[in-house]
Amino acid sequence: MNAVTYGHLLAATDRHLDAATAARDRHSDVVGIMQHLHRLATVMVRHLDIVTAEDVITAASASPWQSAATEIREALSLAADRIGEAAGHALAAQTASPSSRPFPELDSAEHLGRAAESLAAALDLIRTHQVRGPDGTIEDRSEWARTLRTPAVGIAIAREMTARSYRIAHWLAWRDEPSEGLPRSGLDAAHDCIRAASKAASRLDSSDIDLAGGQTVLHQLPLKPARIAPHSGELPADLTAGIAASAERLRVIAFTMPELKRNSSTLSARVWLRTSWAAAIISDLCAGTLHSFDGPDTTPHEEHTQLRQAVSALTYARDAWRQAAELWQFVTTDTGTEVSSATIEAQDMVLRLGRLTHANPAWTPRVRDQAPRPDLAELVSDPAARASVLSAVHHAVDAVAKMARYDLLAITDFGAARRFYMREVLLWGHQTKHRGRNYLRAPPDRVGLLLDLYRVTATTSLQAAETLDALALGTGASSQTLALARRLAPLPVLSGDPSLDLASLNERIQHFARSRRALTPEAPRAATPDKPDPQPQPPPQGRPTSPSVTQAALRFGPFENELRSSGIDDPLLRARAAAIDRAGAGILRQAGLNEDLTIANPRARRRPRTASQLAATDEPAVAQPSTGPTRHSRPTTSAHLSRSNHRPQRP
Amino acid sequence: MESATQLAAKLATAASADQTVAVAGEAFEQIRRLANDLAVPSSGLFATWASVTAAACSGRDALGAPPSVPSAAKQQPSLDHAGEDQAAVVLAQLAAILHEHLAQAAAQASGGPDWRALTRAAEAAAEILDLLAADSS
Repeated sequence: MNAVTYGHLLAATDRHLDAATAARDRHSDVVGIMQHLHRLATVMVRHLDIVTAEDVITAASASPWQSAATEIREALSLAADRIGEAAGHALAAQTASPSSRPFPELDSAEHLGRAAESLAAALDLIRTHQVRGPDGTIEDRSEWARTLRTPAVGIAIAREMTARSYRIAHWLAWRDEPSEGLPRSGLDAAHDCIRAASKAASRLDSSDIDLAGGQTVLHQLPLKPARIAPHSGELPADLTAGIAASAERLRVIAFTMPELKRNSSTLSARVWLRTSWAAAIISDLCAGTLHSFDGPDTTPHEEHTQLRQAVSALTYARDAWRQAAELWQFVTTDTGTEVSSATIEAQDMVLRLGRLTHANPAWTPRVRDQAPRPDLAELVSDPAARASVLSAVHHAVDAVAKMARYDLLAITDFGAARRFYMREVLLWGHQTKHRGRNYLRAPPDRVGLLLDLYRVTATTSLQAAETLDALALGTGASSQTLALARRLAPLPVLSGDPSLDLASLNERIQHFARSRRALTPEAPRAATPDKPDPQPQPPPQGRPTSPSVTQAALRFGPFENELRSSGIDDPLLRARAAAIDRAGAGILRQAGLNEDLTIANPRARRRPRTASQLAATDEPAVAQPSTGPTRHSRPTTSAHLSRSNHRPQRP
Repeated sequence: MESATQLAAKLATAASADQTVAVAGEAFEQIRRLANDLAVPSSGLFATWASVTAAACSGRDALGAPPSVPSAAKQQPSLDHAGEDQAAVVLAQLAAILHEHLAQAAAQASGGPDWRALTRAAEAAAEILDLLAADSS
């Protein structure tokens, strides 16, 4: 991947420190040197803040390495103070004799300044993954933030800063001319502090922590890359770099997805449909590529086994993603977004993987751009090319696995907010046109099936990624950072039944969009697709006779009905819900409103309508000016589209 | 459900915007169903059919057309290469007619939700046509 990494910025820091050392005998801008050494030391302290912040460790829980890192931080902080004071003295002395400061060319001070800027940029890079909010709390901005909190990476940061603090110590002993106004005692104190930091650093070592892995991950910590739009004619190296960039962007996008939660208009069933298909295609292309890698004569036995496992896991993940895409065709949301950052990056990955694995450098999903898959024997025989492609596949699969995981969280949130809808005709078998109920809220068991299916996609995609971890580490592919990061900070286990698989979900899938039948025997209440609004009115003519539901609608208030329809039988909860219903009705009576209708549809208070209109606003319309996929009751005339727009609306 | 050829004929003879909208919704659903059935990994056009399915859903939903209830016993189409190619040709023709008529209907709409819905549906038809057309003309 060509993205800027923490390691790149550390290397830039070192280059400037070297240049400063090389130039230090040419000039004597002591003030500038001291000021920039002060900046350098201060930035180092800020780096150490990341691993020693009070909300990261507490005194009680501090491990030996954390205690050592804290000591290093304190020592460098004191050193920075002393150097700052020395810079102040030097400035005062220089002001008294201004003739001593001509510096026409780049000198040590400027190199030190640039070193400090590079190190500050490295800190900023970390902050793109881990932000400290206005109230001081740390907010994760990407999956990498978890890795940053691991001991291995924390130690790596502390060691890197300590190592560079030695470079400062060399400068402190450099000048000893009283006329320059440097306080010798202050510089000596700073020097002692750095020596103390060095001593504390010896306690950073720990035999049970993967220090090398931590350093590798820290150096490879990426800045979120800019999108690299695909274009025809990209060479294989461009394709693999583009795939890695898209994968990194998709990981960041996926990470922020659950954060969007209920207010998001960038998530929709259509977006999930497109990303599901893209994930199925990516899994398929990756499986095909890995399969071609597996030459019986050329592949070592262990690698052969890993390739077979990866292909198997990817094939299963592909089928799960395909199944998810099929279900999304029957579900909609109150948002109509067609394109999102995730769909763009997923599509970019599809294009590049397609071009990498088909005999057409301009391959697209279009019929006219199709091409056969070439024999990859030549590619397989070149270790560098093989490692590059393996790395790209690893990145793609890892990104898809992360996407599945965070999709699951976002879908859970959408489900909890009841933002999924299905066509009435699918659930009831016909349309009750006169009520305008084209869309009903998706029954809990349908949402439950979506969630279960995403658990399967997340689990199987992760299995594929983990198998590729071993391959990447074994072959030294550049994507091994992903493997190391996963090893250092494993993802928490997903909640839910771990034994779920496509076979066990199959029967529920078959009935997902085919009947009002319950998908889960243990949740009989969920059998009734979207209970009617608890409006105390008789069921409309033509509505399927469902005595239990209708009677419930007549007898109970909205809160109690909500509990009942969700299958909650707790008598205490039901009693409380009934009390809330009664209290609400009383308030509305006092306000002189028709409590029945208003309770049933709170929006009616904002937009009073007739009873029949209220009945039709179960899932009212929302305008989507940019995308325009407004949903309607089945239109018979174009003008009718405007009048009877029954598209679900964001709550 | 009517065949793609029949739907294309009905669209071509639609006398009003109302009829166009009604038949177009049905056509999108027909395209979706067929594309979804063909979007299997063993197909040489897996990515194509998957993309067509997504676009057809967009068009269908823009027009408010209901999805058809999936059949109980799922039947995988046993189309060979030639059969798939033939299906692509037929659906491309249907998409072309869809696009033409929906674009006309959108042009006649006086803005607002109708215009947006028809425009979105026309865009979906264009996307399907672009995916399935044998050439870029």
